[in-house]
Amino acid sequence: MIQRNLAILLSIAFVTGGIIYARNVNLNQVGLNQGFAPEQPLAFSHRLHSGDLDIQCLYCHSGAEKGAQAGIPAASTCMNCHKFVTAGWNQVKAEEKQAEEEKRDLRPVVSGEIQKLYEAVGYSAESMGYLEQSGPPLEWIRVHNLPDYVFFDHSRHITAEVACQTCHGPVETMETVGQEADLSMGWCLTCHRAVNKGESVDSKGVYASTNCVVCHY
Amino acid sequence: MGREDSKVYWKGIEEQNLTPAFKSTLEGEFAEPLPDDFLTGGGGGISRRSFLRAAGFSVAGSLLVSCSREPVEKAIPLLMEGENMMPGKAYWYASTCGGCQAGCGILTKNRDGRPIKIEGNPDHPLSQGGLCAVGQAMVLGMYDSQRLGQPMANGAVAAWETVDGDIRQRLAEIEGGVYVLSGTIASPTTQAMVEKFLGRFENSGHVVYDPVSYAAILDAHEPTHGRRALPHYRFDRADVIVGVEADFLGTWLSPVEFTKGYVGRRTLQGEDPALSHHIQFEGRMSLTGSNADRRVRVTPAEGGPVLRGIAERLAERAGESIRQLSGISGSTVVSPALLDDVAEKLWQARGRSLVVCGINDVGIQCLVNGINQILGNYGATVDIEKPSLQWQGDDKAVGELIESMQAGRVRALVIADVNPAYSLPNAREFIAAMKKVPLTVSLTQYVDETAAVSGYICPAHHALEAWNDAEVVSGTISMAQPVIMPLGQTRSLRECLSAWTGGLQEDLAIVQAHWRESIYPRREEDVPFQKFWDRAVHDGYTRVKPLEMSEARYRPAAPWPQVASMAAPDGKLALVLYEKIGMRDGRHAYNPWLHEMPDPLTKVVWENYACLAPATASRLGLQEGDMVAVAGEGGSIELPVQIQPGQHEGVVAVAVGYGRAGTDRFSRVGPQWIESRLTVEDGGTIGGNGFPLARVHGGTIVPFNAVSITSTGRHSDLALTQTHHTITVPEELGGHRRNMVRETTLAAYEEDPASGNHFEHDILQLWANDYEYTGHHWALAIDLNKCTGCSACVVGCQAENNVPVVGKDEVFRRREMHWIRIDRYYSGTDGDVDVMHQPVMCQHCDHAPCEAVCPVLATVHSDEGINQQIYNRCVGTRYCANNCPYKVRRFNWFDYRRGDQRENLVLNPDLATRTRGVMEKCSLCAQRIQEAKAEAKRRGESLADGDIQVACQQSCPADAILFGDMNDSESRVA
Repeated sequence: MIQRNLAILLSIAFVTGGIIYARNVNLNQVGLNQGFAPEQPLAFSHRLHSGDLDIQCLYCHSGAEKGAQAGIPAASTCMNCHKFVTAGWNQVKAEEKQAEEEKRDLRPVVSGEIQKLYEAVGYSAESMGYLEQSGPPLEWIRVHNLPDYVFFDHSRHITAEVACQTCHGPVETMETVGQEADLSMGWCLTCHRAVNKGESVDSKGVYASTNCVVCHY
Repeated sequence: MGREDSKVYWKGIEEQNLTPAFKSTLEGEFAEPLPDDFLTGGGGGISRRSFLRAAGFSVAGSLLVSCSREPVEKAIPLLMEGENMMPGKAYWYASTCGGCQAGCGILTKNRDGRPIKIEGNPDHPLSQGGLCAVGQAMVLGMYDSQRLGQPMANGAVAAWETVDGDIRQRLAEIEGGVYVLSGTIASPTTQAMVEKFLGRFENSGHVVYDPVSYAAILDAHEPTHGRRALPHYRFDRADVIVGVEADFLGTWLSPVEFTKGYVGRRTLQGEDPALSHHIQFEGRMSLTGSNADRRVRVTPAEGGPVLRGIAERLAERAGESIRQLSGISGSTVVSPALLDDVAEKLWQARGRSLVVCGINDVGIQCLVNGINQILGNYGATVDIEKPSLQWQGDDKAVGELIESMQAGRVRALVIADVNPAYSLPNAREFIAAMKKVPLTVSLTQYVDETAAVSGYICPAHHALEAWNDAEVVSGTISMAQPVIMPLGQTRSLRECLSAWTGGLQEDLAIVQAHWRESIYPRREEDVPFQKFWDRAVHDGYTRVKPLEMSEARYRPAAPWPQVASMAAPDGKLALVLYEKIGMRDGRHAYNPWLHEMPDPLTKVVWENYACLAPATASRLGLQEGDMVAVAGEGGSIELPVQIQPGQHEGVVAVAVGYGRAGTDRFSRVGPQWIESRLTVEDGGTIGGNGFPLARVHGGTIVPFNAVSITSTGRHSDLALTQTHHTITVPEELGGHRRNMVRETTLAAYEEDPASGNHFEHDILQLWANDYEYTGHHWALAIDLNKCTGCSACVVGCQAENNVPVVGKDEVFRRREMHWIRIDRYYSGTDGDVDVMHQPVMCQHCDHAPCEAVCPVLATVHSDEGINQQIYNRCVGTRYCANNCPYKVRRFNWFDYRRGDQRENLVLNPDLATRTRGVMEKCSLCAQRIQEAKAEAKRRGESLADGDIQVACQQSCPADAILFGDMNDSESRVA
């Protein structure tokens, strides 16, 4: 009786397994999020900030230099500029033009996306000051998300002069950031091995360990 | 090849007698056989069908789990970026330990706003970087979700406003008879606050009560030196130490500081190695006794006569006479020759010797003071000018308070941070007397036995949540700063008193005001107050001018009180109540780390028990685990028997601190599965309470008594780890025992530093020793001469490496998860034994046997000499554990972490928590190596020796553990 039940269970498992196998042919790639480019709660453009305006990556992601996590900048970092920059160039120009035509004082123009930031930090564009109450924080969706058993240290790669783009791709051209590389262990090791053979373009004279315990502990 | 070593070491009675049960534990690494029924269909032998069945399951199973997509994770940044607040980076803050009254300096590691690890503060003048197991486990206690978070009035939750209002109004109606009952308050600020509070009432008083009392030492200095004080004992200056029932390396007064000092005199480092000589007289087997050079087994009743014998002999040498000796019984079973020898050793080391005694009897302590006086130790190894303020309990005052309560003279009683309804020998009288006090307020972290009978219960801060200060030794003030916002609506005693006498003041303001007023004027350097304060907060301590006190001078003629007779009548045994290293006086009874830490000597977890000498047990016909009733004047408790080699035959030892109400919360602490059994019965307690068996003599609480032992006929196995993970030679290869302990004498060592190490067989290598470590080559070395076995490293490792708690039932199955264990070996006969402590963790063998057998390469060697265990690659075959000669690999039979979500906040985010089906073991704190390397790289420097300190090394009070790079010729480990 038990054997029969087991046989039935096994067949079900085999069939289920087969279906899943058919749908994901390359099992090695399962779970890798390459190409993942979710829509973020605030349409922040890396192309504009990092590309057109040429703001250094480390200005916002300063953690990358100091520790393991690059981090998402605190809203206060955004406010360093956006206290004054309330909307896009075109919008501001249009308001100036209209104000001139209507012969009135300039009204504060706040773009929709920047308004989201103001709500999160509790800032009023009208009074140019912080409110007592801040809104719910921005919940960004993590794009580059390594599994919990991987411990990656940004600062070690920055000190070894690896460019951000080596792993993150040409972020300065991305309107919405997506995961460029597959971030698999094989992909990490390809670069580490190349560095040790002196083939890498990025970093010179460093030893890139290929020990397991460098990332897994 | 090698010499025959006549000394045989054994781990326990079972091994010495080679019982069948012990032999069966040697057969496999795991307690249970493989479930081969499933594979064989119950019929024996694996058929083709059953093989396919198993294969099918594994293929299907792995397909199912490998097809999940990664979950979407949200990242919520900070709103405002603060200075020194980087997500993912650890910050360290100096503070003071609140685990016991000793007040050791600590550093707390804060990750993202929450403390996750406590370590010793290396700059602190007393503890010097050491920290005991209790101190390290304290951080877990802070996250305990069952801590009291709200005030209660008459059994119901109330708001602070209501409670404050009620108490203020009722205090206003009272003119006098207000008492504060607290543990030792080493904090000068709190002390001043209590005095100010009590000053408003007539006939009021502050009664200091320590559950494990040292009152006799303080009281004895009144007749002998004219001042009630606890001297600051300096083990760091003592070459000859005589201890009588004083477990100064384990629990007595200030064990971390004493261990530092003691071990500093017993090291082979430096130009001229010398070892101090330590003689211990004791009835039970204590941690201190296990480290002594010579251990003399005596009953507690012999303590007085032995000390008298020593005093007489010393007086003779000094040409003085001690008149008071006539009042002390002089006959002792200890041989005169031995006493002569002890006295001679002490006399030769005048001013460099130290006699300490743990018997809480004023007469005996006077005798100890007399001896130290003759030896000229006052001013050298016994500092009375800058006395210790760590323990100030006054047993007599407690007795008087209970009398006043009974007589109705006490109108209001504030009880802070003590639990007399549990820990007093006459707790029942105390509870009855509580009912006669109109206003009772208990300030506590838990609704404990005392709070349960109090009118108002006020939730107290955890030590990590509050500002505090502590003058541990006159002139040295430790500073405590909060490292997290209080998790509940808790308050300190200072805040409470301020709220009840005026308006609620901020704790920081109170402490700072007192410092400005009273501490700052005692400064040694002239600096502005802010700088003085900031430095104290930053360093965790400050040095100031010692307290002004009356002069303490020896009074040779002062009469000493009568010594309590501690002899047990015929047919009875002498009871020794002691503190266990982990549980102390019971205040940490809700801390699972400490329950699961094996006791350094008995290796039992999750329990207390009645320790009996092997001869006594066989005389009474008792086996280990048999339940007995230990009955004395104060009542009777039922405990299992533990057979303790080296204990005196006339002694039964029982640990206090157990039997706390509410410990049945741990009934389901381990994984819950079909065969699991409860760790403790619902509604029951872990262990039994030994405090009622203590007795009161001349007002002081003496933890010795005469008791009778009767078998109750029941049996309850002890969960002990001592015979788990035994290192053996298999039967087919001879089955002989290899001596794991190598030892030598100082004289032999000076001649040949390799003495004691012997090589019994030719080393046959399967692999050529051809790998050259070119970069770092990490190594960890343990100086077994220094290790005292205190087990601080066990808890330190647990906190650092997210080692789970498995519960008593799983320990029975040999599934404890500690990455570092301390093997304890005995040698000699049942009675007179020598003890060795040997910490064992992964040895990171070159050509490690575990690596060769792993089918999936989940454990491989790194090019820095580390045996790496890769959890995400491990499939759980357990071959490696079977092949490990040191038995240090631990298998995750379950997903251990569940239940208390708040307690999970203590987890170290810098390393993975392991899931079910994965092998784990010591990684040499890989996360610390990586962090230190990254830090050095950022600074652009190379790693210096000492930049990396592994968790077990950092807090070792004995500095026995060293970690470093063997390729760095400058490093201490090389």
